[in-house]
Amino acid sequence: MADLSAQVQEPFDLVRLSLSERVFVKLKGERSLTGVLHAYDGHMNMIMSDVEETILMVEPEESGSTVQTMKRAMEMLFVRGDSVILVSPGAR
Amino acid sequence: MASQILPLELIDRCIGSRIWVITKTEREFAGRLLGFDDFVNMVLEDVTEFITTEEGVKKVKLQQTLLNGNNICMLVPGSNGPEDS
Repeated sequence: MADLSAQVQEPFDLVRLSLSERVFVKLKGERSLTGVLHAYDGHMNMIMSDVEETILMVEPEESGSTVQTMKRAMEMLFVRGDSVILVSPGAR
Repeated sequence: MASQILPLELIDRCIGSRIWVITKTEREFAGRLLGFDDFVNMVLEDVTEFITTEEGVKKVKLQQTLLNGNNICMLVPGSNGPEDS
């Protein structure tokens, strides 16, 4: 990735380079997604396929709180841009 | 971006079909998409609302509804909701 600085001029360039690749997306409300990015627009609305959604739930108990995760799989989905916190190339 | 499909175009192609709407809070809606606008406010019909509470998931049936786009997080075209798998 030596010439990355020449290709990436502005933030959306990084998203553009991730098209058709797996990305990790962090959303508001303790949700995250991993999936293949197919499209995006200026609002950061996105289309992704082959998606796994992870929801983090913190349950308070007497002995201290526990963290539970719930996962779901979707073949194709649209993500509204205003809930996107970050997009990272390369899914975990 | 020329040969790419834009996100709102995908939603436009879904008009008339079932769609599963996931909100930023503990609510989801499954219904038929009648239309939407630039703000992704949505008009749905034949809707089932799924509300997740500590006791479990509560289902409510609604007729034609206007859903405020502010709280929408994700849309899954062609799906009947969280119980469709």
